Formats: sequence, C-alpha cells, structure tokens
Amino acid sequence: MQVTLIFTRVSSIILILVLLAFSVPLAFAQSTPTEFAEMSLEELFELKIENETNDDFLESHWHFNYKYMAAQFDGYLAGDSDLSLDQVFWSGPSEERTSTNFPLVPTVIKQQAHLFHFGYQYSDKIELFLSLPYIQQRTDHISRVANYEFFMVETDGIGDAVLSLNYKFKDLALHRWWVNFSLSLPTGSIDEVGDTPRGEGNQPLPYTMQLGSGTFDFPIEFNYQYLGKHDVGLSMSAIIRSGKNDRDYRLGNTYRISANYRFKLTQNVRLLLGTDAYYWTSISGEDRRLAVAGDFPYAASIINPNFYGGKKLKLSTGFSYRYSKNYTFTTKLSKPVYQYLNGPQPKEMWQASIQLNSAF
Amino acid sequence: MNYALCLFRILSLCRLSLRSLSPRHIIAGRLSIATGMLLTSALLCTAWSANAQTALSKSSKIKAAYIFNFTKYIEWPRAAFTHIETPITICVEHNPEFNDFIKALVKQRKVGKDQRSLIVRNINDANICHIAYVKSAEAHTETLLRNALVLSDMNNKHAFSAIIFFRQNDKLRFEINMVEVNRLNITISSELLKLARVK
Repeated sequence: MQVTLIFTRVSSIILILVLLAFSVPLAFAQSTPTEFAEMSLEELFELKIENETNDDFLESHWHFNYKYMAAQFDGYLAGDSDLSLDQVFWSGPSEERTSTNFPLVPTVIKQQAHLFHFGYQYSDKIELFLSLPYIQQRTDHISRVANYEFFMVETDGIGDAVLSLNYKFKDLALHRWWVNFSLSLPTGSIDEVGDTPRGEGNQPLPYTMQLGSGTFDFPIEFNYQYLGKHDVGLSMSAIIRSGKNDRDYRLGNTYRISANYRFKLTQNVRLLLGTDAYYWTSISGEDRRLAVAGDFPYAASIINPNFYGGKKLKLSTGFSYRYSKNYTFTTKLSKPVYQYLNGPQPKEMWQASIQLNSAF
Repeated sequence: MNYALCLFRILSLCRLSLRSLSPRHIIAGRLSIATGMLLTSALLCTAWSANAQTALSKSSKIKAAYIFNFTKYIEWPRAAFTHIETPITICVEHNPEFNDFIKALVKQRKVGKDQRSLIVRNINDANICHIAYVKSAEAHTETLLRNALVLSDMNNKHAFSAIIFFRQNDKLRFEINMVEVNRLNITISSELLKLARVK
C-alpha cells in the first residue's frame, strides 16, 4: 500500500513537471489578438516564422507543364472545295492522270504529341522555357500497287526542342502585355523511313511523317491579356524558318492570330472559348529522294511541296480546373470552321489537348 | 468559458478515479492525489487553451497585426469615407480562425488623425472595402477590389495587389506597389515605406 502511495505521488510530480515544460512556452509566446495589436511595426518586422510550412510566400520559380495533343486529318480540300477520295485517287490507266490525282493517297493521318515544358521564372518580367515534344504519327493509305492496296506508315520520336524567353513588358492591374522569343532547334528527325510501295525495304517518308523541320526556326509571339472579370486574351504569333535543311527544303512559315475568352463557372473552373486564324506558306525546295522520274513526279499529294500551306479558321472550347494554386488542369477541343488549302491537301478534322500545369 | 468547461470535465474524471480507490487509503494520500490532479487539470487546460489560440499560424497572426498597423500609417482620400465617423472597413475572405483573430485584434481600437474605428467584414458580404486581404486571385469582383487597398501573399498576387507579403530570412516582410497606391490616391507614411520593399 505504501509503495502504491509513493508511486502515485512521484507520478503526479513527474506529470506536473512535464506539463509545465510543454505548456509554459505556449502560454507565454505572443499569441492573443491583444498582444499582437500592441506590437509596433518594427517588432512585427523582427518576428521569426522559421518553423512554418506555410507556403503563402514562396514564389514558384520552376514550372513543369505536360501537354498531350492529338489531331486527325481526314478527307481532302483544294482551296475551299471538298474533294472525295475518288477524285484524289488515280485508279489506273482507264482514268486520266493529272497533277491533282495520285496512285497513292493518304486517307487518315493521326498525330499525337507529348509536350514536356520546363519553365524558370528568372524575374518578375522574364521567364525562360525549354519545351521538348515526343511525337507519334500514323498515316493510313490506299494505293493501286499490288500488296499495298491498304497500308499504314508510323513514325515516332523526339521532335524539335524549343528554347523560349517570355518578356512581360507591361504588367498593370488589369492589362498585361508580353512577348515571347523562341529558338527552335532541329532535334527532330527528318530522315524517317518506312515501308512504302515505292520499292523494296524502307523508303524515305514524306514531309508530314518527319518529326522535325531540320532547320533553326524562330517562333515569336506577342500577347495581350485583360485580367478583369471577363478574361480576354489576344495574341499574334509567327514561326519564321531559316535556311534549308540537310534534305534541301524548308517548311513554310506559319502566322497566327488568336483570341480567347475565359468565363468563370465556379471558383476553380473556367470555361474556355477561343478562335484562331492561321496562314502558312508552302514548302521551299524539296527532298529530291521523294520524287520519281516522269511527267508526274509526285506519287502522293503530300510529296508535292506546293501542296502545303493555306488558311484556316478554328474555333475552340474547353475548360480549366484549378486544383490548387500550384496545379491546373486544362482540356481543349478545336475544330476548323473554314479551311482554304493549297492542294489537294489533307484537311484537319479536329485537334484536342489535355494539359497539366504545375509550379514548384 | 471553454477553459472552465475543460477544467470541469477533467475534474469529473478525477473524481471518478478517486472513488475507485480503496477506502483504506489514508486521507493524506487522497489529498495528495487530488492536489496533483487539480494542478494537472489546470495546466492541461492552460495548454489546451493556448493551443487553440495557436491553431492559427503565427504568420497569419503577424499578417493580421500588420493589417491593423498599416491602417495607422495610411491615409485614404476624404472621398473614401462618406462621413467623418465612417469606419475603415477591412475585408477578408471566409476563414473563421483568421476572421475571429483580426476582429478581436481591431476591436475598440481607433486609428489615424480622424480616430476612425475599424470593422472587419467578409468580402463576400461587403459593399465597400478600404483594405482587402485576398488569398484567392480569382475570388472577387473587379469593382469591389478596384477601389480597395488590396493585400495579398506572394504566391497569390492579385491584379490589384498594392501590398504583397513575402517571406525573407524567416521573417514576414511586405512589398508596396506604388503604381497601385498612386492609382488609389492613398498616402503612405515614410515610416511604413522605409520598412517595405517598394516597387
């Protein structure tokens, strides 16, 4: 019994000491509203917040975005006139061969790209980016060559890496203007080959199936954004190509004007509406390995460098979801409403993208 | 009130424990245990009470204190107030802990040469804000914030942010955007400016 009593007393004393050790600092640190109200600016200025994991003040210098894009081309246009496959396909000697029908016709072109985008916020005005695409392409064909009546060609690999500099030259409360200068490096292959009816084994593939431009290109973009209740953005951009690649051609320049509107559906979800007008030029020079001898050197429309370029107007819609201040998910679907193509040229049916933006 | 409730509950538990002891225990022993438990209960409740106060992060408390202090060093144009006794309205987002803390902090305090009182309103219920502390960049209507001195954190800068809190050397600092301050026709005292990172 005596032992129990001693044990109880000792336990009480130890418990009191332990509680004192833990509770005294809590009770005596600044903690009440009155204590904080009575502190001067200078005192507040010197208060330490070293043990907090609160990230309200951490500036996110690094960004990583992943974007998956898919597009499909199906059918043909010459100017703004639709052409059927029968009109583009040269079925044999019973039909007159012209420069706009071909013994080999791509029917459906499917493109996918995984775009990895790394960004670094150098200062309030300057942001640096590196973008690296991984491209997968597949084209279904019909031809009048025996054993190649229906065939498919695929390519995949790294595309052209792009280094970018974003310069925000005006950042007012509701208006923001910035410009983006980029350098596109010829890291994508222009030597892709595949099994085609042109001969035994693998043959050089046409321009659409290559993964890069083969030239140093200069994308430039000018942007304006109104940041009010109704968020509106306008941008003008161009991809200017330089020189000629190892296969003696240069892809056409591309020019684009875009407008987009973001409407807030809920606190974190926004509806996106947009329109893009494109103009792009045909290919300069040509990869001579693709042409054949004779009056009609191009076995398919996509081999003729003049059947590239045109004008296009697209409408797009989608939504963005802000999961947290560091993560945003965006999805978008666009469809051309008007296309005027130098051709016969495969026409775009749709393009879709899913994007995850993260900052850390 | 919470403190008293806490003490009552812990002491009730202690009484049950004492009842379970054998009647053969000597009175001194029981008194000793009772004293120990009373002290323990008091300390537990002190710690609990203090802990409840600290549920709000220290940086949030410092921000609340800064906001109160800013009102002492900032002069709004006359037109910002309809009457000489119109209080300075501090708008905050829905965060009960922060709101309760800053309300208690500014309660019955008066600032400036006009000795204006201060009131704290939820930004979603406010018609006017003299100061607005916003954490969500997209949360509020343009018109409400256009005329307010907007405070935000570095990670949640708003289009109208005039004062931005940031962390430097484990201390809470602030940046003042003079473009916004001038647009609002607000006067900031040199004492406040000398502590700020002015942009």
